[in-house]
Amino acid sequence: MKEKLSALMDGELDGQHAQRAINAIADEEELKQVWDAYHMIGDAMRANSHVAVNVRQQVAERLANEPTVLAPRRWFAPVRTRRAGAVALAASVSFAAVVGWQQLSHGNGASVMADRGVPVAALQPVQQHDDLYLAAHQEMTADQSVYKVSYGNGVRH
Amino acid sequence: MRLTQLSGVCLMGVAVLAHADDDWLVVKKVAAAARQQPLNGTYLHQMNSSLETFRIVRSGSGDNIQEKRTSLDGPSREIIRKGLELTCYAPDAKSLSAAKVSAMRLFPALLPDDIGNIAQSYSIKRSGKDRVAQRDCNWLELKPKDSKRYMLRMCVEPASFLPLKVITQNAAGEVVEQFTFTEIELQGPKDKGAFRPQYKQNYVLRSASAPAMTLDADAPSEVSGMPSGFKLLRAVQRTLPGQAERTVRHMVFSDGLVMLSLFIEPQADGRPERAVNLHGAVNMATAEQGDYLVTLVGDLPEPTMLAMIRNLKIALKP
Repeated sequence: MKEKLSALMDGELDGQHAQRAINAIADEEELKQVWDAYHMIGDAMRANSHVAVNVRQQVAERLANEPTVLAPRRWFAPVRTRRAGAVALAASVSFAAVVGWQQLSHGNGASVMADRGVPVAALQPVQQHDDLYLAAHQEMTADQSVYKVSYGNGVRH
Repeated sequence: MRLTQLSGVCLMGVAVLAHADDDWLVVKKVAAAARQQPLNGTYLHQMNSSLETFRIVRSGSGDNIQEKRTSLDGPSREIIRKGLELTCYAPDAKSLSAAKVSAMRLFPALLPDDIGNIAQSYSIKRSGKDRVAQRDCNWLELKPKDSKRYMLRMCVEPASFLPLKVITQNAAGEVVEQFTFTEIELQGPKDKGAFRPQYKQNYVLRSASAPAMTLDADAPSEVSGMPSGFKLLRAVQRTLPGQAERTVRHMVFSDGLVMLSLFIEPQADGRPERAVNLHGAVNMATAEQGDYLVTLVGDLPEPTMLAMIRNLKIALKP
């Protein structure tokens, strides 16, 4: 009989023989298990990742043991708490986003810097009053080779 | 046997010293190349979490150096150097004031012309090779011997001694300011018109004739409490730009790497002492001392500036 199952799997049985084999499998539990085992072997040999793992028995048992929950549907929905929950969820999500963004921007300073471009304010951070000292400092210090030439050696230390 | 060991140690010591001397010589060459090397390139300037790009062209030599830098982003600005003259150009007043601030930092010319007693306050170290703007360069570190100053790291192109990248770091190792060429040719532009200004509005930062300042020779103030290594370069009695009626005493100090300005003026209106960041690594601190308002401006960390201005002792001669 097993040879017949094998032949059936390979599609070598024609109409009438095939029907007889199928009926035999349906009738006899032992043959059915053999049939399943053959398919598993075939899957494994074809390196099929979905190797037919036989969990039917266990799943059926678990289902039988699970208690059936019979709960009536609520007549009124607790709208407020649900909304509050949604708001809280949204708030925490956005907070997480902000924190994440900050972390990211710290870790990736260069690109953020480039994104920001040139803030004009950064170029003019000085108050008018500070500006004068800056200009005076600059006049005396920036590019001193020029300064030196213009003063020659007349500078006292 | 001992003699050989001893002489070996001595020889090694001499070699190390000579090596350091060589490195200081490199710093001198870098300072000169940064001012004079003809070039044609683009550089990035990063500070205070902002990033700017400039194009720079330079040619000529000696007193006839011509240089033009143009901002490629932000307000339109041009800073043109023609021999002794330094002028900003911009299309409008707002951009012009931004140009004045940008002229604070004339990369690659960041080192003082005369490094003087730099070895007293900084140690020098070579720290490996790198590549900047498609050119090989060698890192040179100027590390302060105390924690009051910034550390300066620069990557120097070996043939021309031009610094291709300059990084200023604070004691915590954070980058305060950095410049880097993104592309550079070591020759000036072929087009003679490359140095012509594009905008009409201008402000002369330094005129070709000597600036109107009198040398304060007869009454130099006594200043003590400066961090070690700072030497008085010059002291003048002057007016602040655009304020003809206000006379201040301006003293310039240098530790061989950074320049520090000290302003002293008679004034006491109860202003609190404060320190502010002006531009990149340039900070300012101001405080009152008796009847005088004292202001420090220079490339030193803000905490140092505040500590300094508290410790300064100034004795003005009548």
